[in-house]
Amino acid sequence: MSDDDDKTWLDVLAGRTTPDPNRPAAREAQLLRESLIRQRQLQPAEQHPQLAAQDARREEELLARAEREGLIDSARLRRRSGWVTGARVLAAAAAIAFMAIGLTLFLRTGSEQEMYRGTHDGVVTVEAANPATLKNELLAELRAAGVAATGYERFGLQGVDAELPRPISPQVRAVLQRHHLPVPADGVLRVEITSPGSH
Amino acid sequence: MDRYAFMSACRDGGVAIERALRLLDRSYFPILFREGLRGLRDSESARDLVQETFIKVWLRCATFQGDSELLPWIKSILRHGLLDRLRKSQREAVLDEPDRLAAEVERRIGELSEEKVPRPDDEARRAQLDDCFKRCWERFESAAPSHALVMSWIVEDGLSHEEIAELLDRTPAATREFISQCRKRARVHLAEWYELAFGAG
Repeated sequence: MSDDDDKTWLDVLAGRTTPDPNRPAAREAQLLRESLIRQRQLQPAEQHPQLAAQDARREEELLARAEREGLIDSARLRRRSGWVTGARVLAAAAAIAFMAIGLTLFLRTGSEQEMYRGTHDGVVTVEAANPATLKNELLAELRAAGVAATGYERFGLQGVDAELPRPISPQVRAVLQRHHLPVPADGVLRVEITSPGSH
Repeated sequence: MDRYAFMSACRDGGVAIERALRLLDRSYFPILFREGLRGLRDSESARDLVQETFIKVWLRCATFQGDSELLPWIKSILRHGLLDRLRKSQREAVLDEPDRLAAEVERRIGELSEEKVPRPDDEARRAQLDDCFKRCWERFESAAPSHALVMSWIVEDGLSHEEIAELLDRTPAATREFISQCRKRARVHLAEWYELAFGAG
């Protein structure tokens, strides 16, 4: 078999025309070509389970491989574990917030020792370790809730006067509850803050 | 998958590659899997080969010029990988006494003229030849998978000498030798078919 013969064989096998189609190498290749094509046509359609056009598991495998190869590492890792990371961050934030609130309440309770002492002639008496601080807090919270509150100091006594809106808004009600103050029947809040042992 | 979308994803990188990988898988997995399965005869190896091919496609995406269709380019990468695997697995058997068998067939084929080329004119004879060819070709694929595969690719895609050289990663001379080996090995493994097809004339 010469090189020239092989070239003719290759050309005809590939379906290209050759100057001498009657050459034995050409006839041989032609029959091989026809038989191969016929064999492909006669083959039944493959029903392999892996031949699905779309396969989520296969795609995930491919992407995992692409990650290992460093093709899509950072972008994909960020997105895939995004919800996990996000959940962790949220959980951590919630824990910190919870601890902060707890600590604040603990410190407030501990330092101010705020205590409701009763109501007399429409005036609510509250005892606190630091009356001026509690007065300022109460004023700030009421004003933040939309109430025009007034603070005062008379004869060494701290106090807050405020005319509450009607109906009382949830924000104002929350402030009152937080400081254990009863809702005034006439809508006028009068608070006197004493220090322990001042009576 | 459209070749322009592919090139655009290649330029953009990052998340675009992930989307494009999914599209590649949906567009070409079945056709590439069949090709891999034909050569490797093992579905897991074929699946692995296709995925390896998709990764290579992205590692080389910048070299895709866009002046041809995407599938032939991807197919050539797969075929390269497939031949590499076959080479490593050393499944190719040494060709024993090719000259003796080839010489006999050569003599018969040499006697052929256009008038004497066997053309089965009845269905029974054609079916007999088809059946024999199928059996022989399977033997050929099993004994010399690289040669059988390259021959089938030549028929399917009309590969030129240069394209075969590129696929094999061989010099023109080494490629000529490979093609000559294909022809010789086919004659050995398809001897029964040659006998039936040419001997009857």
